[in-house]
Formats: sequence, structure tokens, C-alpha cells
Amino acid sequence: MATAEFDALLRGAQRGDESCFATIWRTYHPGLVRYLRVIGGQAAEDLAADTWLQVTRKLGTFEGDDKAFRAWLYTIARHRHIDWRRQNSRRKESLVEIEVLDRLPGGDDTATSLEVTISTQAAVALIATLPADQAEAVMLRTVSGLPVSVVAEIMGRPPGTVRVLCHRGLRRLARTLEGIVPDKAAEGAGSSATEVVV
Amino acid sequence: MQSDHALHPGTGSEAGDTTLVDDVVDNVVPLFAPRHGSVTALVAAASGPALPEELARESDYLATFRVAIHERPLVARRRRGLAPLAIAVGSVAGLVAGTAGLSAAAVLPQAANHVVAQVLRQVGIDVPAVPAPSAVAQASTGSSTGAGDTHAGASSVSPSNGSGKSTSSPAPSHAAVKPPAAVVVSGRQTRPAHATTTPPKTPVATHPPKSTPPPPVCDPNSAAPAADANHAANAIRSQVGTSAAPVTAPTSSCGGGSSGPGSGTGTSGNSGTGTNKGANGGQGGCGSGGDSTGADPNSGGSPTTSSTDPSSDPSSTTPGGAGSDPNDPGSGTGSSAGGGGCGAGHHGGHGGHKKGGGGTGTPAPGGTDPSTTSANG
Repeated sequence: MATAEFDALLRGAQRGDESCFATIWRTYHPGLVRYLRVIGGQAAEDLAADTWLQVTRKLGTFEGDDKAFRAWLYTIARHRHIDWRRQNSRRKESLVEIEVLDRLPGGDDTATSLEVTISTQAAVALIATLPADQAEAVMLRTVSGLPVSVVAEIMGRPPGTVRVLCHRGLRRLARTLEGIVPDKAAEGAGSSATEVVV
Repeated sequence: MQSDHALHPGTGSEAGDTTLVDDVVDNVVPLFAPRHGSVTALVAAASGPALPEELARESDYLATFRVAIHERPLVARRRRGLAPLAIAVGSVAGLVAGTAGLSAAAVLPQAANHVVAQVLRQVGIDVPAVPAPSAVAQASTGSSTGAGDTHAGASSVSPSNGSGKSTSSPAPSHAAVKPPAAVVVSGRQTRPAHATTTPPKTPVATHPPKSTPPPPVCDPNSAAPAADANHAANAIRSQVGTSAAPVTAPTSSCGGGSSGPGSGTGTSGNSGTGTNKGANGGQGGCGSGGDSTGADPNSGGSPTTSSTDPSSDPSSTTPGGAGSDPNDPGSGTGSSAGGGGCGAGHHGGHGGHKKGGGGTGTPAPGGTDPSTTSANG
């Protein structure tokens, strides 16, 4: 979105113009929901609602361009996700080893479905299979197109770490799509000891 | 939102260039090589156009926006409107309260205290008297402010310390010795003269507390006539005179407020002396003066004795109390003592001699000899 166009929409939304806000929402909401789906799973919609509620409350104080708005939006979303995860941290969890999940017959193999027709939801679902930090870095850096510095600021990580996370995530996705089982030893993920929350 | 950048559909062309550089730096580009074509497709799919189900709840979000946008301006306007006013009011209130408190606590320097008192009086705030350091315990010296000064408050003891010229034996503070509440000149409350001495840490009592008579009852109305304010001012201004005579007998000040001149607030070292012992009375107020005072060099040494009219003080047993006639500023005796009026007898005011001033240090008529600490009352 061009800077001038975004500025006009932002000023209109800040004045209370509903159509301006609707345009902004339609522009940024899909990417936000996908990002939240990667990091928050099923709670993506709820988190998105909380995020936009916060945005509407603070919209009058925001100043910046399109890039700054996206950074602000994803930062709010990430904070909402952290709060949500903290609130749900005491929920009952059942730990399942990841090897068990590998042996499960998949009703719809994501990689297979991608070969046929790559849908957005399938792509997001495949990215969500990455380790959390890699998936988040890929979503913010590659999918949302935020600069490394902004992603680093959002994630609270050094830029070098963001670069590494993004690179490893994409490489892992490539291997997955090629049908190559990721070298877990090389990834250093320690998958044998990794447990996932179901 | 769609851009020309193949790897970052979500960015603009400008941002795409930047991210392309980042891609090269990050060594991500090889991952998008033809052999990894599925990665490119994956990223493109993940950043593809909005799906209908993703925009299905647009009406809900707009409703939320509608509600929030109608609440926000009210709050924002109220805050914007009230914030400067609240800050201004708070600042003024804090400034007034702070200065009044500092003035009342005598923390400010004398000059500043005076100015603050004047300013606050203009706005209708009567700053309570500047509490002079307890005169009782001080070995203070100092001269009284002159004939015109009287103690306004019940606090009786006037710190006649002043410039510390005269040495007076500190008196015990047992007898309810209080700092002067204020000095009233011609019906106006003014600062006590040179009440800047610091209270002594360990007062030395020259007179045993038990010998102190009960606090005399002073009639504020019977205070000695106030001397000319100009005279008092001159006395204050005069920096001369160090009273050499040690004051052994503190003068008591009686309550009541008005008391004789020579409240002992001590000012310019004209005179000397006299510390109030307070024994008599603390409540007093009469400011006894004793202290002496001395002579104003300018005035030729007026004794600012403080004594109050003994006749007004029924409790005053001091026979001579009546005496101390401070009325005569020009008497040049500089001495003081007045205690009698308040009945307290102990006063010692004497004499501060001011150097060079005319204060002779002789006790004022009616005044008891400073050396005599006896409890008249």
C-alpha cells in the first residue's frame, strides 16, 4: 500500500470513518490471522479480535506509515498471544512424542496436497509445523515481508537470530516439500526429546 | 499490498528491494531456486489474497470499531482538556502549600521567609509565624527587634539570639517555651527578627526547672506600647553591637500575645541578649523581653524591654514588673528586661550592650536584674 494512500486511510479511520477502517482491516487482517494461526493455532480468531480491539482503541495515537503499522499490528498480536498462552499455561496437557505423530496416518498430507493445489490454509498449516520460533520468523519475515530489523524487534531477538531462524525454517520447509525428512540431528532440535502439546 | 517481489508478495516494491537484499544476506535466495520451487509456491500461497472466510467477520469488526471510535473521542477530549488544567492547578497548589509550609517551618532564609509571608498574605493566606528556633536552649544572643515588636502568639519565648553577639546562658526548655508565633508590628504580623539561630542541641539550664514559677498569665492587652516600627526596623538593620554581657537570667515571655517590645527575636546584634528562660512562662507570650536589647544605634539605644504592664498581669508577682518600660525607646539603656510584665520574672534581659551602641545594659526600670534569676512570679 502506498504511503499516501495509507496515510489517507489512517487519517480517515482516526476521524472515525468506517470505510477507511474497513479498507485497512481488509488489507491487514488476512495476514494477521495467518500469523496468529501459525503461532496460536485454534485461538487465531480470538486473538485477532483482541488485537483489532486494541488497535481501534489506540488508533488515534498511532503515527507512522504502512510498514510501521504492520509492525505495530503484529506486535500487538504477539503480545495478545503471549497473554493468551500465559492464561492457558495451566490447562491440562497431554504430552505426545513427536515420533508418534509421524507414524499417524494422515488423512490429508499437507505436502501432497500442496503438490496438487497449494491452498493458503495448507501453506499456513505447513509452516505451522515448524518449530515455533522458526515458524514465526518465516511468517513475519517471508510471508508478511517485514524487514529483519522489524521482525527482530517484534520477536525480541537479535537480527542475526532472526536470520538464522528464517533460513532454517525455509530450508526445513523445502526438505519437507521434497519429501526429505529433515535431518533432525542437523537441525539440532533434539526431536527425540521433543514433546508437543496436543 | 501485493508487490512485484516474488518472494515477498506482501511488501511493496521499495520494501521488496530491501527484503531482497536481506534475502541475499540471509542466504535465503537459494531456497527459492527452481529445485525448491515448492517453497516459492508455499510462500506465495501463504501470502496470497484474502480468503472469503477470513473476511467473513468484517461486520463484527466494524461494529467493534464503531463502538470504540465513539468512546475514544470522549475520553481523549476529556483527558486533553483536563490535563493541562489539572497540571496547572496542581502546580499552583503545590507551590503555595510548599512555600507556606517551608515558611512556617522557618526553613527558608529570613529574607525569603519574609517575602513568602508577604506574598501569601496578599493572597489571603496567613502564614503562621515563623517559628524561631527555640530560644530557650540557645545560648543565644542576639538582640531584640526593637521596641515595636511584640509577640503575637502564645509562644512566648523569643529567641533573642540574633547575631550571636551576646552570650546568654541557655535556659531550660521545661517551661513550655515556645518559639514566637509571630512578630506583630503595628498590628501586622511580621517575621521575627533574625530568628536564624539554630537551636542548641543540648541546652544548658542555668536555672533548675524546679525554681521556675508557674507560667504567668499575661494580658495581651496590657502589652507595652509598641514602639515605632521604623525604630524597630532601624534596630534590625543595625548590625552593630555585640552584647558582651552574658545573660544569665533568661527572660520569660508570657503568653498572650502581645507583649512588650523586645520580643527577643533577636536581630541585629544590637543588643544583647537575653535568652528567655521560659521558665516563667511559657505560655506566654509576652515576650518578655527581656532581652534586651539594646540599643539601637540609630536610635540612640532604645531599650526594647519587653515588659508588659504588670498591672495587667494579675499573676505577676514581680513587683517591678511594671516597670520595665520599654516605652521609651530612646532611653538608651538598652537593657532590658522586662520580664516583669509577664510576671515572669526571670528575665534577664539585660543588657545587651551593643558595641558602639548606646546600650548600657542596665536593666530597665522595673526590670529585674538579669543576674537575678529568681522567680518573681
